Amino acid sequence: MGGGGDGPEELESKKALAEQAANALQRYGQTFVPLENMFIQDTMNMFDPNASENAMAMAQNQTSSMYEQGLGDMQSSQFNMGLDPTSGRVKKESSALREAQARGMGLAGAGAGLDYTDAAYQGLGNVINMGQGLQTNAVDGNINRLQAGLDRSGAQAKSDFARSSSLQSIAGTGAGMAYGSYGLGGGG
Amino acid sequence: MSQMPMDNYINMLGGDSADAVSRFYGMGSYGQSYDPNNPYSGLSTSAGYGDNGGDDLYADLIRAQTKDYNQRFAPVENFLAGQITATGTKSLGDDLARTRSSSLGAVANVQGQQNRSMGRMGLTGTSNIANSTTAVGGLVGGLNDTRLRDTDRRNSILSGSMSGISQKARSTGQ
Repeated sequence: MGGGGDGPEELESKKALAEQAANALQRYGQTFVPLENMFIQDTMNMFDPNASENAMAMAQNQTSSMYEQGLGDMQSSQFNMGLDPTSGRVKKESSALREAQARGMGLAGAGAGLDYTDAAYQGLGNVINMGQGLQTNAVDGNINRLQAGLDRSGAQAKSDFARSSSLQSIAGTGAGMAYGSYGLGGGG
Repeated sequence: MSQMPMDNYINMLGGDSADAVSRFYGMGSYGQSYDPNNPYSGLSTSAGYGDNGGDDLYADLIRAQTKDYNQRFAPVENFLAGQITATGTKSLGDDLARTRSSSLGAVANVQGQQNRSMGRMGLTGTSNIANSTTAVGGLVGGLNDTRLRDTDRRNSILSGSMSGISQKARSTGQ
């Protein structure tokens, strides 16, 4: 057979495959490496202590609004029932719901902060998966995380409202009130 | 004499072969600089005419990928591994501070709302939400939950549900 050298000649198809792989890697370098770098930088930025401020504030505001409507309705109900606003019952009921609101807002904000930290670590995990050439899981976005937190807040608000006797009286039955009037039945 | 033909020749070789030839002729290292925004720009896409051109090109690809991994991804793995502590992660301190500030901030916010609401009815100083069992219980519960979440996070990082860093590091190169 023709050809020099000590070993068998390399197959032309092997060269073509190597060239194809080199071409794919070059395209990956041009197109996807900058995008990957952007994701890596965004993930690292999530470890900034103040990075979760917006997510926490949004969770607090949304939770607060769940209680605001209930508080307004409770006051209307108290007036309609002819209760004296300076009476112990009014003050006690109002304070109890405000305390529940404070607790709900605080925990919702804290939960959003924790979810954000988890997401930062999840992002790091995905970066490592990229480096290992593994398929990565989808990362939950801010909206999904916020909704999960609000579902929990909604469930807590339902139980807090159910304890207000004035609110129960305007709804007829305590158990059905939060579901019907406040649209809180979908979550939690 | 211009060195352009030699540069063109070295460019055709690409990768480690180009580096070896360049250094042999005293032209310095070739392709040693690493561009993090396009780590494969110096890679040749031609296997050339040698007996083992395809093999050599494959070897260049693998070396380029290894270099890219070491430059861009290994530091992230090191960062994640460095976050793990004996009881959780280094994020615990910041998380506790955020939980505390969220709970106390919410109490101050709602206390203000309650005071204004009561003030409209001519009542002042009627509630002290900050010292209520509900608010204090919420704060303590939140801090406990933060610690538990941090421990869970550490276990997730180590065991694999979040990243499985050690298992993946072990499988590199297999």
